[in-house]
Amino acid sequence: MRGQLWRWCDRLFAGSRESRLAWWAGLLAFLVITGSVLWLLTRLLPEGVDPTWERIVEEGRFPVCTDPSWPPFEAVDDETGRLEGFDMDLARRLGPRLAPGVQTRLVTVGFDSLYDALLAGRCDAILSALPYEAMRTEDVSYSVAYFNAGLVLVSRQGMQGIQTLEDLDGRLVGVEWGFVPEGDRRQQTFIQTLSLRRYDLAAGALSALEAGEVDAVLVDRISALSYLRGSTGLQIVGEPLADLNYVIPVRPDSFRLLKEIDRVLLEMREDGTLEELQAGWFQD
Amino acid sequence: MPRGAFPGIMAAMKRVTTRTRRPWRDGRWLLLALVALLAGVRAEPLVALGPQQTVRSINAKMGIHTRLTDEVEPWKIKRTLEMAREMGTTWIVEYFPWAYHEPAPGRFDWSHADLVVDHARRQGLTVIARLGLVPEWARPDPEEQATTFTYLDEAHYDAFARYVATFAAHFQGRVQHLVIWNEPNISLEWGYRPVDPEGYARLLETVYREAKAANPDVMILGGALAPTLAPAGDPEGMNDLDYLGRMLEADAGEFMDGLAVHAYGWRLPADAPPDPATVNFARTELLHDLLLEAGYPNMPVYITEGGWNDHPRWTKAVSPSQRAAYSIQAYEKARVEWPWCQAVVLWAFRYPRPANTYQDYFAFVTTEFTPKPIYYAVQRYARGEAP
Repeated sequence: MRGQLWRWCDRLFAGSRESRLAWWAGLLAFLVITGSVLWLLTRLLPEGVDPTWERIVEEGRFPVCTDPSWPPFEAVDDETGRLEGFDMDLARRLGPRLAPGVQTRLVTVGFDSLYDALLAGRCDAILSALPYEAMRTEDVSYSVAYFNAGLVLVSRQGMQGIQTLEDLDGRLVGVEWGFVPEGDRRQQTFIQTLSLRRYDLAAGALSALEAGEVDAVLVDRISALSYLRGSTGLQIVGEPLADLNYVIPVRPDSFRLLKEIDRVLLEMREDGTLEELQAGWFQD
Repeated sequence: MPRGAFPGIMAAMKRVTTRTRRPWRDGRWLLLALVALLAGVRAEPLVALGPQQTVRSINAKMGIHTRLTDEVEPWKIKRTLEMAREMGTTWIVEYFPWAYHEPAPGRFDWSHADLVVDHARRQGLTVIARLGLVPEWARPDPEEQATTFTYLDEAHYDAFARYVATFAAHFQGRVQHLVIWNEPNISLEWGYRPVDPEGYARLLETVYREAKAANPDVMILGGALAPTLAPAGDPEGMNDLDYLGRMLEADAGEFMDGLAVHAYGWRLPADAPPDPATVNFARTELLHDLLLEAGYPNMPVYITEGGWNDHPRWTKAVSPSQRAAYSIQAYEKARVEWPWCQAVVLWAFRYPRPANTYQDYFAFVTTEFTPKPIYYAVQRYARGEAP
């Protein structure tokens, strides 16, 4: 068999010019036909059964677990008792966009039991401002990110010269007490060299920035967005310096559901839905 | 290597090189020398205890609960205890599970316990031992009745008492304080049975008599109750104040030398006033009041668990700065206001591996031994430095 292969290979390089061209053309045709057949097979063959997805489509119900104790992502409205927040709006919009006729049903679960509730089948996904956790990928599958809550740099509007982390060198930077530098090792090392002033809470650091006590602040993006909602004098500079991505966990065998959730989230990213939700809960 | 072993080897080697005519005999000498060497060399621990250390702290009541039960590697045990000492804590509480140390009736293995206790003492720390966790041999046949590690029927009180007594004797002069059981006022810790203060009082009596006979110096600490506002008849557990009251009515006070208390603050500061309808750090005062009412004015109290959590999501958590401030406030409150309280041991120094839950936010040090900001804050307090 190996000898035969060698002989075929020889014919690609030996013999008359016409003969070599004929062999090269044959090889190309073989590769094109084989590739086309494989591509067709992947499109036509069924991709297996995801029982979770089958049930969601059949029953028209998409149960989603949440712990409503984390405003503005999820909370209980004191007056109406209704679950409200960024995640709750996202969950309600997610169901109908997964498949026609599907409605989201929210299931409230304590924070510590969210993953157990998912694995025990009380719901098919979790939407509760959960960050991606590499340690859990043996037990659950994660969607693409729908919100980045990572570390951001905040400065006063109109303040010149603060565009990047490196611009903080020689300046006074406010952080929350207990702040531990995030990001890659280079960033962490750099942050540790800065002049840091610690405040009990992130809001205190942002307030100090507004009052001119510090030149910039490093805080998580949720604290920054929440504070900026009531302040016009501050701005978030650039993209998060370190990522803390909120994602939607599903059971590992819910591969079709995960694929559909990813599709809808990417569509929402494109059509501005995620931006609209963020504006609604952080800026209005 | 002991003296004598090295010359023995040299002699054997000399015979090998000079008496080549009788190789069988030379080989025999070499073998004998090796046996002598192996017999003579005492195995040295991989991690040396190191020089005797002392804790430097302005508050001798400071303590931290370690989690070394499942820590295998000796260097991690030593590092944990070194860092606890450097933080300024005098006391540690550590768990010594019955099932680990008496795997079969009468067969005891103290190797890991010795390792922990010896390293702790070398760091100048005082160990409070928490004892519990029932071995399979002391529980009903699983074919007949499924039980958990916290299930102990009265027929096996004697067996547990023998374990405690053997522990007390083995660690005489090294460990003086023994906490008997953990949170017996919640069903989970009482083998998923209805909790039973009178039954727990009988357990204390059985243990007390055996332990004192084995080591008269040992101090038996009872209680270690879970702070809970469980209403009457709750199948999950009993209000700790009610439970202690019934324990004392059943004469438990006669069979304990101190009261172990779990004092969690949840979202309230350490100086929040005590209130029977609230779980907070000062609830300790209400438990102490019950001792006074029952006629035990001199019985000391040891807080063997407690503290605050700074998980960003947990509903009972506080911010990292509040956690540090409240913890220091708790140490200081015991030092200044509670002469009857001997130790404040907060939960928990470090976990052997991440729990990946809010529990990780009770720790003072990460699994990788990186101190959290609270570690440095407590250390500054212990050194008398400004916060």
